[in-house]
Amino acid sequence: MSSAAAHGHDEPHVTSLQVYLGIFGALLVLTVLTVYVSAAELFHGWTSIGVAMGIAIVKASLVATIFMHMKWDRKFNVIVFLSSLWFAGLFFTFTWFDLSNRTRVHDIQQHNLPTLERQAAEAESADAKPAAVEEPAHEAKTPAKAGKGKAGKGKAGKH
Amino acid sequence: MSTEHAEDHEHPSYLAHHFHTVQQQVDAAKLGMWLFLVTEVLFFSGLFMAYIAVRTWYPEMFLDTSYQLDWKLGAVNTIVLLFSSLTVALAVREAQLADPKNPQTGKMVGYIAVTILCAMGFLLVKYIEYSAKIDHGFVPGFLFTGEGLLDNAHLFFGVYFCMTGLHGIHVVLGIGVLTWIGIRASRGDFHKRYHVPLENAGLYWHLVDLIWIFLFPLLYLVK
Repeated sequence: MSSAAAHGHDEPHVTSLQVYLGIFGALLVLTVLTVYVSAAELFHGWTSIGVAMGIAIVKASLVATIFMHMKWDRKFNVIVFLSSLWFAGLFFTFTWFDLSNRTRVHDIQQHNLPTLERQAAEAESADAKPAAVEEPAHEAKTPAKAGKGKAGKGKAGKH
Repeated sequence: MSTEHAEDHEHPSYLAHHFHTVQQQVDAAKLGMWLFLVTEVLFFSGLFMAYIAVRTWYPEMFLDTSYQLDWKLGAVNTIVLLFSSLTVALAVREAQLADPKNPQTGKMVGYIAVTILCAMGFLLVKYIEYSAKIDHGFVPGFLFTGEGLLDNAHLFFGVYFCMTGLHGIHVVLGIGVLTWIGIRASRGDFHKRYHVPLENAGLYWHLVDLIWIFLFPLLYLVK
């Protein structure tokens, strides 16, 4: 039905008045439901967000499919629009990883503080003899050691 | 103007010069509109992310502060917007049924006018809500002077004003777009063969409704 309508040329799909009014009625019922669920305090925290978003998604789907005529629109337009939800989902998910792991990163830094301090001290002692790194003519150091000094300096410079 | 066009092939006044057929013009316009709606969703997604962050970091503050919003006014506005979504859909329906030779514009313009009135009603309720918040000093960031709330309550109002404010700007722009579309409809521009500007204005208006469907429970019905 919908695929045939999508290829129709001149005659647009006309939705009946009853369908429009029925959808509007359903949207009102769902609005009352979401207010009731909240006022009666049936759920709390994440569960309450989940239930409220579930009802909102049903409402949004009704508006999109019937009022916005997505059901009778070209499939390509539907894919284009739904792609926005996909990209918004990616955005939420990866930002969520960051949000929910920030404290863990902080803990790991605290845990490794002695190591970091030792590395900083090593870098500082390497900086104390800059001539060894700056002047290649000075042959007192082996190439391996000079490289280490450079790496340490680079790290210290980051802070 | 374009005299090079042969007389034998259909070239109605509403077909733009750079399109072969009306169908091609309509398809291009609708694809463009859907792409614009994609950018709108992504535009709002940044604010939804801010909401998630603030609610995750300060759940008690968020719950406590949300009681400052009047869910009854929010519910009224939800119903007003849902109704306006219905009327704009009915306006498109009238255009789909209108005879191209002599389009009946009365009902079409009437439905658009009701949609505009609903949009204004929505803004009126929003004005009442905003002024009550501002009177209490419940405003975002360093301007916040409210008392009796938990720490960081200014973050809740930051999220609240940014989300409903951006949505409100869309409602204001919607009034402008629908007024222009209403004037065109009254001139008899839209009928069975061609009504894509009205349809696209409708799609924009439905998106404004879609966003509010999510904002209402997220801000007013926190539990």
